[in-house]
Amino acid sequence: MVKLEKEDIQFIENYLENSDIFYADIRMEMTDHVASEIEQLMDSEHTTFYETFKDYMLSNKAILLESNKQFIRGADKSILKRLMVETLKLPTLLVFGLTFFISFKWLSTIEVENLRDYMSLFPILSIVPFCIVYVIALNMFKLPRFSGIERLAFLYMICFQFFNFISSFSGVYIQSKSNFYIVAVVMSIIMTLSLLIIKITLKIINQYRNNYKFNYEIE
Amino acid sequence: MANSKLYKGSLVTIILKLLNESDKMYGYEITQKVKALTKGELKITEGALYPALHKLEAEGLLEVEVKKVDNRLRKYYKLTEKGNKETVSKLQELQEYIKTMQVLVNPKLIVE
Repeated sequence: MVKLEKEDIQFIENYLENSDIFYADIRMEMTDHVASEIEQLMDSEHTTFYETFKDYMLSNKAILLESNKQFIRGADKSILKRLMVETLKLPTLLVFGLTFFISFKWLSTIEVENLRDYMSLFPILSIVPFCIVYVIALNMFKLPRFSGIERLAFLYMICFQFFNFISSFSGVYIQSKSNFYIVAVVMSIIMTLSLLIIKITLKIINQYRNNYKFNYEIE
Repeated sequence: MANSKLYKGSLVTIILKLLNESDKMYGYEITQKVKALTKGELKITEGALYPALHKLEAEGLLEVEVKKVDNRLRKYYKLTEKGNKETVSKLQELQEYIKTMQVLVNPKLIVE
């Protein structure tokens, strides 16, 4: 059975990367698939690597690019599903209850006039812990561009828009101290979701670290 | 696939069954195994296989192991405990489906 050389594998990897398959986990699996197919074709048709690669790509490149899109859609769906599952867990409801209680107590100590300013700052402040976890984890573990990790930014973008919307919406209701329970609900939703995103981020980063064991670079 | 629409609904069951019969498998190996078992009648494309594998992984039915093989990294899939149970249930479902289809397509063959 023909086995491809290290340079051939690198060639496939580079070709896929230049074809916008930029997530390391997706590219790794595709490289192995393409390499295995090429090895088999070279074996049965007695052709060289470059001839086989060219013919293979001519007939399969469109399928590979479509697969890449499906990979990414799958990663997004998987992250959103994780968020939904985590949201419905009992500890999440307890955290929500606790943050609601703390928010309500805190709101009773501040002036109505200052509250709108606080509310507009809240979504922006919610970015900070997520960014710290994301950036520190990536720099500390020196992970490449993994789909599951990078697509977390997509989840955060959705949540940030949602936080902005509910903050502006609740701002309309701030007229007197009697409306503060709405603001407390909004604040606890934002805090609970932010904590969940951090939890999911850490879980996904750990999952990649365990699965790939820092062994992702083709030597 | 020979008739992709007909086989599409059974893809997950096919994957689970194959993984149930071996310790671990990688994507290309699954496509080749299916091709060999069906004598080329059924060809699973990467566009159908990998999203299905990733979905099963996300659902906790499969676990993965990445190993360096032949100058490259290879992602192996194997069934989890939950995956083993799901395989039994999916195979039962498929057998029920085949039985029902036989009744519909060829009722004369059913012995009263």
